[in-house]
Amino acid sequence: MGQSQIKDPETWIDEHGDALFRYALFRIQDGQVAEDLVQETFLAGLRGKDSFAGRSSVRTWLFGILKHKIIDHIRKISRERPEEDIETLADLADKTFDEQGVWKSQPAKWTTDPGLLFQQQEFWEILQHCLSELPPRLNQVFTLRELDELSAEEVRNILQVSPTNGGVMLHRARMRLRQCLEINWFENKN
Amino acid sequence: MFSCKQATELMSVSLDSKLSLFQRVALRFHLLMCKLCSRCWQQMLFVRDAMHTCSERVEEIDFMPDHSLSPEACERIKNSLKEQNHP
Repeated sequence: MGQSQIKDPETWIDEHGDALFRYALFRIQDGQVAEDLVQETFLAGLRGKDSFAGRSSVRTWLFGILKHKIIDHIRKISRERPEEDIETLADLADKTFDEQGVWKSQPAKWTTDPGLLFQQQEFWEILQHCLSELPPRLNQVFTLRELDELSAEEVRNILQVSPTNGGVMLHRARMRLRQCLEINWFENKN
Repeated sequence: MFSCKQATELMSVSLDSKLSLFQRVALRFHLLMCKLCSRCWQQMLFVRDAMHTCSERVEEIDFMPDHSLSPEACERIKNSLKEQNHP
């Protein structure tokens, strides 16, 4: 399927450049870094094109390379800078639960059919918005775990966080995402 | 018996690792008794499902649709590819 496209790498940029760039930007939220990652992806693709088996499309193959580049980048920046103090992240739980740990901001009933919902571009835009609202470290821990589907241990190793902090961060990210989707999607739609 | 806040923490842990028998039983019991936590649990599973679907459809979903590679970046990348292709 992809063997004819693979022959001319210079056409890759026009055909796949924007899609790869947008995904990189969504993950990294820094245009300059996203451009560099796309460039590295194309160069790695060029070096490895002889091993491209053509079992998937060129785009799928390039996305696969980019995803690895993104993870490598996150690993690198996590090594370079010390871990943020987890306590500096404002805790949503303060507003969600009272002192006894009872719901203060109660989860609403969502009426939804995921099959239909996932067909709507608008839903994915809201999901992207909610992910971008997470503090960067929470965004990274959550996307590595749920989008890249790495194990919690792998995520902790990449981000250099302790098991306790990793668990706290994943919990906070899940609670924030849940609440953001409720406010921006489900309450608007119902 | 633990609080709703602790129940949500345990729900999250259960998505990343196996709970002990005691934790499993305690969480299950709490979910049976508490409508709000049960709802939160379903929604947490929904969020995970949405993320996994997003990952599967990464080529179809329009991420950041208002952004594009700048012409300068395209040029730079094309040149770097040319250079590597025909040094």
